[in-house]
Amino acid sequence: MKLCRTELQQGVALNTVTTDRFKTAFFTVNLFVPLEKETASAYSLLTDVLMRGTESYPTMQALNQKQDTLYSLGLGAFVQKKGEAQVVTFELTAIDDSFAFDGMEILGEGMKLMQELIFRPYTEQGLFKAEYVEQEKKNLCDDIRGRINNKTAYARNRCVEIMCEGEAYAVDHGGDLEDVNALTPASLWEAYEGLLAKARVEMFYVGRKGEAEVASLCKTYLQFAPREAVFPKTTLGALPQESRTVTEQMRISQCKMTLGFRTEYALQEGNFPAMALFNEVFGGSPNSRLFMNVREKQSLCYYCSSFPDGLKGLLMVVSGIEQKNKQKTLDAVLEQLEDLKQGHIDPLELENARRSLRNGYREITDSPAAIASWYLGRISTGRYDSPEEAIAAMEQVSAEDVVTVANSIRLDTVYFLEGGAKE
Amino acid sequence: MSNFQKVCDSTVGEQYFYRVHESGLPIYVIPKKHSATYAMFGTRYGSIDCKFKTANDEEYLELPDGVAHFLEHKMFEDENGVDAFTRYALTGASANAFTSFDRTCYLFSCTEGFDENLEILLDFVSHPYFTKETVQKEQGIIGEEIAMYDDNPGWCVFVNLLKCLYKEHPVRRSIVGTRESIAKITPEMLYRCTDTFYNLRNMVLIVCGDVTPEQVNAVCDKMLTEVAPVVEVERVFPKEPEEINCPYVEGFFEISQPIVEIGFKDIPAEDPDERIRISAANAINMQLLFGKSGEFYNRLYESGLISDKFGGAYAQERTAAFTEVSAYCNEPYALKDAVCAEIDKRREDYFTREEFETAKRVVYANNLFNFDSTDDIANTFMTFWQNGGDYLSYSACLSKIGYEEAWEVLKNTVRTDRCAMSVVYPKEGKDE
Repeated sequence: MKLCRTELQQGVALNTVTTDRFKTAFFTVNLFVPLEKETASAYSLLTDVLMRGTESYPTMQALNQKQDTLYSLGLGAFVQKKGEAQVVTFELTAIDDSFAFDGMEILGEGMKLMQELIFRPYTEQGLFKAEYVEQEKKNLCDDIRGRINNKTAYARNRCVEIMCEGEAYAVDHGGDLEDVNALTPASLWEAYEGLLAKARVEMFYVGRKGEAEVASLCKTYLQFAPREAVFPKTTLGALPQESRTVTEQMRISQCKMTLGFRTEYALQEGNFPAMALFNEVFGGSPNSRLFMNVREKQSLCYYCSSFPDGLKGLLMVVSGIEQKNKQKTLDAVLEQLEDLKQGHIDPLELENARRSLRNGYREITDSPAAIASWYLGRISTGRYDSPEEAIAAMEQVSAEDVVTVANSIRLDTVYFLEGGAKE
Repeated sequence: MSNFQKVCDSTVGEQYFYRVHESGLPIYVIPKKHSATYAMFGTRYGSIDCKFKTANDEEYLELPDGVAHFLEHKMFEDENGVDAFTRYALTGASANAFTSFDRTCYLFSCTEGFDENLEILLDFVSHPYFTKETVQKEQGIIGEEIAMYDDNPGWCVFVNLLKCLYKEHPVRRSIVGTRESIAKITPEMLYRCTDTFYNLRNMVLIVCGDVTPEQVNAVCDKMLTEVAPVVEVERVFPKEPEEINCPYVEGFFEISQPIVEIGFKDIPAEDPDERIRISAANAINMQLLFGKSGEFYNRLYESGLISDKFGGAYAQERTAAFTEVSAYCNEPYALKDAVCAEIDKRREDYFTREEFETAKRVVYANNLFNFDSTDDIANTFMTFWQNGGDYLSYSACLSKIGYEEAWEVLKNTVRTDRCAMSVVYPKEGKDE
């Protein structure tokens, strides 16, 4: 499952993983730009407006009908956040050509359609169709307002927003209401041209075809002009001297507790394997400290887990609890951290964490989307270890390294989303 | 070959091996060259099995809501207080379990030590151990799980829809129960459930990954040394009328926009093959009616009534079946009228033959996408087994569905005179 990387043009690369494990082909075009409040909303809206139609398929229905004839070809456009980069992704999923019962070249046809989607959108008077823009603005605003619907995700995002206020990382990659509302067909068009001209382009293919064949398809169907584009940099924030606690209210039955820690561990720093192993011991699995103690021993919650952001160097802990147990749960989590700081790590506990992490890394190779996502998350750091290489690096991490991580991370923000607001 | 039966399907290029183990347990092995192997040990026992007795019992047992799910949590603990997760920790497997209306499944996926992991799975699921204390401890954890679902509008709108569609059938009851109902659970109750339903003849083992049937069989030989007794179980389902229970229900949540589910009640067929034929035909019908390339979806999207958060599906199991249309939508009644009008129109004036063939191709390809994931394969196998069918025959069944046949199924199974709507509104206000 080794990555094969080819520079097609300056600033434009193709990443290929060739394997006969799957019956499907997975292909994405990813445009990397800095995550900035000024442009985040425009790029987010852009992905929705582009999906409304192209020159040859001017309506969503025409586009979807074309996809149907290509054996239910999946085609999507969306934005993602990778550290302090906003990534505009165009994604294609198709059954492998060998499963077409009429000899159709599905991937080639799919790329051709993606080329239209990216470079030849449906326009009126040289701009995006005003009606499409208006409708998608409304839909996007509904989505943005809808962020309150999922309380766990909402609480986690609020915690990050508060913790990273003033940093690029606090910007929501999906956009915000005010900026979306201010967009016009003309300003959106300007953003679109800027994106295509300036973004760093990374394409990924996972499937049965070899690198040469995919590169040749890209040359035929998906030509990007050369560009002087580098990956946006992600800055690790300074470690805080002390932590703050923020409590907000919503009319809900379960209180959500989110903790945000700052760390000096990140993929680009080369020290991430230690964080990965620490996280596995602390709250990354059902055998972790948090699950075994906060849930199983103390029955305080149904879930309590931790996960790192490998680019921004954050570690988050999330749990859903009874409001009256706020302090008790916080204490229980911090007690486990304190215990690890003291160096109380059982050799068996560490071995279990290694096994669990090894299993998790290997499972990535069973899903085309997971493989592409693994490399996409790493590509901007210039290090693109395979899951097997990440396992080898993790095996080198010692108990002392894990204790060092425990001692170096700093609690920045404690965030509670609690019930009890006015009925 | 320990007399496994081999079944192949050339359209999807897959095969499986099947046999009934000496202990009484049916085994399916689906070889797949992936890194991780996925194993699922399930029982035909879910939240709807709440009134039953065996031939040996005098009295029917009626359970409070949430017992099957509670039992699933408690199976993980053994008589020494050791949790199955602790045993899996020694192998690195990733383990889980879930309970739905008609089944409880225990599963793991692993990239090393498969035999050892399968031993753990077979062992802990066949050795129940419950005491007053361990039951009590779980009530706190599940209480928080219940609270989590109570804050989940998407789950609540679905549960409410079932309460509208069904008057008597236990699908209208909660899978997880309430804090009050789970407080009534006793160890004796749980033992009676395991005695009845955790009988190997009522269970199935499905393994998908880089393993051989012989390997799986050998672990079963080692772990399942006793032959399961033949126990006749009588499950009592109250007589469910063909009509819906009530046409409308609403709820209020801290959300931004109403979430709507519209349901059309159907009566499931007695014969398993017939149920699978209807499912296949309705998969095509749903694509035709509500697919993103269809006239209906695009008309509603362009009018602004719906966004891309819209979908339609036909759900069916042995004792309940319905069509479900869901959307985020500010005008629930307008949506309901449009959906009913479309169904009525298409029942009379069906789609063109060309549209039908394209929809069939889409459903064929979507089924193929499923075969890239060991967990999707195993879970779909489980669903077919529950229904008395065979997943690998689905592709062939699908290809045989004809134009007139699909039309006929639409007329018989998607009926607007059995329609109910469930809406959850933002707490601020609601659409009149």
